[in-house]
Amino acid sequence: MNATAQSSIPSGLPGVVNLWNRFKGGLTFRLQVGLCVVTSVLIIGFGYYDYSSAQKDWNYQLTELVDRVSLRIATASAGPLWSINMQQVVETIKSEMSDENLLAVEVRELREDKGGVFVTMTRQHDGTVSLTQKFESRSPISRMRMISYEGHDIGTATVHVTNAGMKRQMQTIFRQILIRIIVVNVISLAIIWLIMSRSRRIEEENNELRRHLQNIFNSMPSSLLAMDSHAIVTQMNRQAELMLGNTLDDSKGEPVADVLTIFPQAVPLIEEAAKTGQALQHRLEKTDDKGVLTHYEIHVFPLENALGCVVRLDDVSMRVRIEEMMIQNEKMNSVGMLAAGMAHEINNPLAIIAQACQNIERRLSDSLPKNKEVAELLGVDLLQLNRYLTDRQIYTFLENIKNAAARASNIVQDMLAYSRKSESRFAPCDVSELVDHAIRLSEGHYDLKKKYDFKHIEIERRYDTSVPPVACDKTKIEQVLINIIENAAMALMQSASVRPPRITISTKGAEGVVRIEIRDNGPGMDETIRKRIFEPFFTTKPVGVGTGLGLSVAYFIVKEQHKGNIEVESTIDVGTRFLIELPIDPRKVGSP
Amino acid sequence: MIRVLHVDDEPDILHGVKAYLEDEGMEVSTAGSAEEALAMVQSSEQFDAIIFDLRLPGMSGDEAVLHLHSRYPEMKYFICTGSMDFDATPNMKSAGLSQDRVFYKPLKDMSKLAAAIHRDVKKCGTDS
Ligand SMILES: Nc1ncnc2c1ncn2[C@@H]1O[C@H](COP(=O)(O)OP(=O)(O)O)[C@@H](O)[C@H]1O
Ligand SMILES: [Mg+2]
Repeated sequence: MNATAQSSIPSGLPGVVNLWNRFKGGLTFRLQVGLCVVTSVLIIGFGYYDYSSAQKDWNYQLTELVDRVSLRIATASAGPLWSINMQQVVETIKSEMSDENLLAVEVRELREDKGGVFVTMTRQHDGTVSLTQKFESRSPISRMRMISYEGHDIGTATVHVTNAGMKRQMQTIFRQILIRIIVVNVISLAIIWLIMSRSRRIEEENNELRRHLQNIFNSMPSSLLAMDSHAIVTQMNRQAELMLGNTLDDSKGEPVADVLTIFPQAVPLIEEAAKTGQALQHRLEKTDDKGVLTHYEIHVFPLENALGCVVRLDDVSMRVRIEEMMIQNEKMNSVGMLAAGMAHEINNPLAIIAQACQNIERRLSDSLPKNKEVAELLGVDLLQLNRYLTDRQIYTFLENIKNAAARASNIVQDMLAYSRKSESRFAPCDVSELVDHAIRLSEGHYDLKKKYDFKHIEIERRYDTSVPPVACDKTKIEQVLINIIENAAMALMQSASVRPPRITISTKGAEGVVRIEIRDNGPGMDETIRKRIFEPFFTTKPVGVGTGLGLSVAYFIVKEQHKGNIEVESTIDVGTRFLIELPIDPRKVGSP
Repeated sequence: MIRVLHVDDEPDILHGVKAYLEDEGMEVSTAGSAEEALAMVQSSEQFDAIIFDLRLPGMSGDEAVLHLHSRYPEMKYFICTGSMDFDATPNMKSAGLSQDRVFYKPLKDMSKLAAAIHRDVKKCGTDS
């Protein structure tokens, strides 16, 4: 309770003080105070001039008045004074005191016997003039004149005036000055306030616009970097900050070469663009410490009037991949057409070779009764003959022919997979079952020559059982999986890694598709190999082991026949990951 | 003795298969086209099994199978083809052409064909 009471008091106060301090410190405040002082001084100056000239005027007028009135009274009252006609003197004075500013008139006698005040007339507060004993108060201006009668000075007439009128006018002038100061200051303050609030509004609008532009700038998916004509960085957006690992505050004012440290190749491009005034575009490649290659596209746009440049950097890895894939597709289509036509024609001669081999083998063996029969008829010892054939390696040659025919037949079979007639075999398949079957088949493909053995490889399955059945050609998709799993197994056997070899196969349902991922922890491959693995006949394996068709067939089956997607990611010494994406219903996928 | 007719347009293939099946103790006749085969069957020659290639000059192998099956349902029909993407249509299946009677060239192991013939023809023989 105490705390709240304590805190509630200062909480309001600092607010006001702050506001006041801000206001006091502001330009507006100083401007206003200055303006007030200047106008006030000016108004006071002019007012003082008015004031003093009015005062001079008054003094002059009053002096002139006393001069004039005293002269007239002195003249007019000479006779009556001589004859001591007091009544007439009073009348004369009265008639001369019509002017409001005349305060009193005093007529004195100068005779030896009877000296002293003869008549004193004073203006009362109500403005009337009456006879008084004497005039005591002092007046600012008075005038005494001799009253002479026939050459003799017989008395004096003194006229006093009041400066009350002058005071009144002075007060009026003073009031006017005050009013002017107030009015002028109020008006000027109001005008300043209006101008200020208008400029504040403009400033706010400017701020708003700046924020908006900054927002637009930052929302760009590209990295943007602006620099002046001396290649000094002036602006960069958030994307650029992220890409370059640098903040705008750190980079502003720095030479662009110091900011684009990860793209030293970009600097000469910027210089060239700035020099020629022509926009430039260039592809850059960058491998990070994990060996992952990223493709960048740099655009340099010179600003108008050679005021600098804007640099745009985009990560175009995705686009580059798609381009690669499209080239791949083209290749596959032409190869596919050729292969499908050729394969069938090759199968017949291969059949003849294979059959002939089998017949030769069988007809040389001594177990077939017919062989014995014919041999006996011709007087040939079959056992001797077999010894001869073995010694002269005829059986080895025969075996070679058989193997070669089998190899050729495998190639042809792979090539035949390019034939487009597949849709007719599409049927809904359970993905987990399909993958399991493919794993079983590849395990069964244990091949001495290919030197891989599933006994040493751990196969981890992670199936998403909620995946709906996928419409596909089961045997073809199995072939794809087998090709990939066999590659992984062979890669694992090659690597002398300390890791226990492992293949992880996972399935996952996503929107309208199912993803099958096959990951191995083998040796991986570098970028130049990765780019080419889907090419028909591309292989890194020795002749007779690899045909280089496995992945190109997989590619064809997934992409062309199932309208799906197949991608590979690989990192040297870490492993390889194939990702297959099959539409759950390929009929819903637009034909290319 | 099992009587087999093999239909293919390649004489060397016919030769190889014939030799092998004869070594298996079958009696093998050959024909270079479907038309020739039909003529042989119609001229009252008796066969237990007929092996058809699919791509033949003139009538294709599958047509001939359908044609013959309607008249000689007791005969066993086999396919031995060079094209990998052959699929038995429902019609063909009703003619007894299950997938285990379809063989793809080159026959790496002819014993499988021989075994299939033995299996199917013998079963029939014991039935009747
Ligand atoms: N899992 C993998 N790890 C490393 N390299 C691989 C992997 N899969 C495929 N490759 C590379 O891709 C090449 C092409 O594969 P493929 O098309 O199946 O042909 P083949 O297996 O006959 O060589 C292989 O020779 C190999 O260099
Ligand atoms: Mg392979």
